[in-house]
Amino acid sequence: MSDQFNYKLVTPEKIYLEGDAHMVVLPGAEGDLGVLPNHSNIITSLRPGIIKVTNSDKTQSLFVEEGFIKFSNNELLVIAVGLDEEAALNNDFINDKIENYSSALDAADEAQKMKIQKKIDSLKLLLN
Amino acid sequence: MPSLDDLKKRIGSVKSTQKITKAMKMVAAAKLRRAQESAESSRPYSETMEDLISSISSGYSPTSSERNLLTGDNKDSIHMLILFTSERGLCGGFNSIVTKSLRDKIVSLEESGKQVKIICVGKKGYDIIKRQYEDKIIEVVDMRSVKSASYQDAKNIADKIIKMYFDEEFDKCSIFYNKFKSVISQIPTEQQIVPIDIPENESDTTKNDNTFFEFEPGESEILDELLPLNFTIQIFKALLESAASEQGARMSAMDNASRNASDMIDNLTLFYNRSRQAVITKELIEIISGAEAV
Repeated sequence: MSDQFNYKLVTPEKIYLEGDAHMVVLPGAEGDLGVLPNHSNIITSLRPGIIKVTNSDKTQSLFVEEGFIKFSNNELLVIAVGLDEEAALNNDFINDKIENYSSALDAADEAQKMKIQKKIDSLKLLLN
Repeated sequence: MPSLDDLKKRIGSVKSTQKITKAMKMVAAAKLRRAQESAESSRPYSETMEDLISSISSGYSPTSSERNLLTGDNKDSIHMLILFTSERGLCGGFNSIVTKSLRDKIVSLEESGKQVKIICVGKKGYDIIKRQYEDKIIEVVDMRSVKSASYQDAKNIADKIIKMYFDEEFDKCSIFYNKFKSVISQIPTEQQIVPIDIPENESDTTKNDNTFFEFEPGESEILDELLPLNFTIQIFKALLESAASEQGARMSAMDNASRNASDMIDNLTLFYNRSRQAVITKELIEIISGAEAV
């Protein structure tokens, strides 16, 4: 049995990254989530955080703002919005995002407020 | 018969028109390549999205009768139609074809007693239908300042429309745009996006996919977030396809125009040379008959 699985990261503009990986760590909405080959079928949403793709020679880290994943038949699909190299990730970048969400927070209704607050919280965790 | 001078002027003016159409063709060709690339590179995303939604919705039935973007809420009285056209003209039948399919839809909806609301993305479509349906157009989205449509543009449009949906301003939503097939062929496409129209013929592939999925968090929470995103993506796809089609349509229209112009120049030049020869012959005859008379 192969110890790798196929993954595909797509953004609205293009296929951002695809290939084979040993492990992908994703910031799931309910907590971080490590996907290994032959993981059970799962669909989940993502919170703002870091995606780590590990294959034989290297580990790549990417920042994701929101998205969804589907794992089935040893294939991982990540639908992402706001995908960026981790290198772009600094405090200014994150603070900008937090500010954007904060301004949206005032206009939102109760149900949305909670979601937005959650996003702000997970963004704050990325600050260093 | 026009004088030789007039003919010369006409040839000149056709020639300069041809220069313009040729230049526009070149510009359209360059823009087309870029637009086509971005349209094609966005396809995997919307395909993945459709795949994901069909995996979720195949085993999902809404528990409450709340309004949602997936199944609607069985109401069917107000239809929202979104028309994607270009901001500029000189692109052949590009705008009129897609507008015609919109018109057909409006007529058939009105015959069955439905109410219609229209959003125009792009000025040209608005210009065509405003005389007939001014009162139904609720918004015109100006894309003139946008060079190539970005995801953010699509999101701005989509957010507004989603809000309208939850304010119960419409029950069903369809988009009308030109799907890019090739440079010479753009297909006017009508697609219903609320409720989502999942193609039936995919039953073979979805059957394999009907495996059990874990959902984290629950199905309905995921759908809550996924559906607005999907809506945005559909708008984005329509924007990109429409942009690529526009350049394709303009390119072939300008190609035709350049060819027509060169036909016209050929004819005019032939006519000009004949007339000139006629004048010369006439003068010669006059001189010869004058000399004979002496």
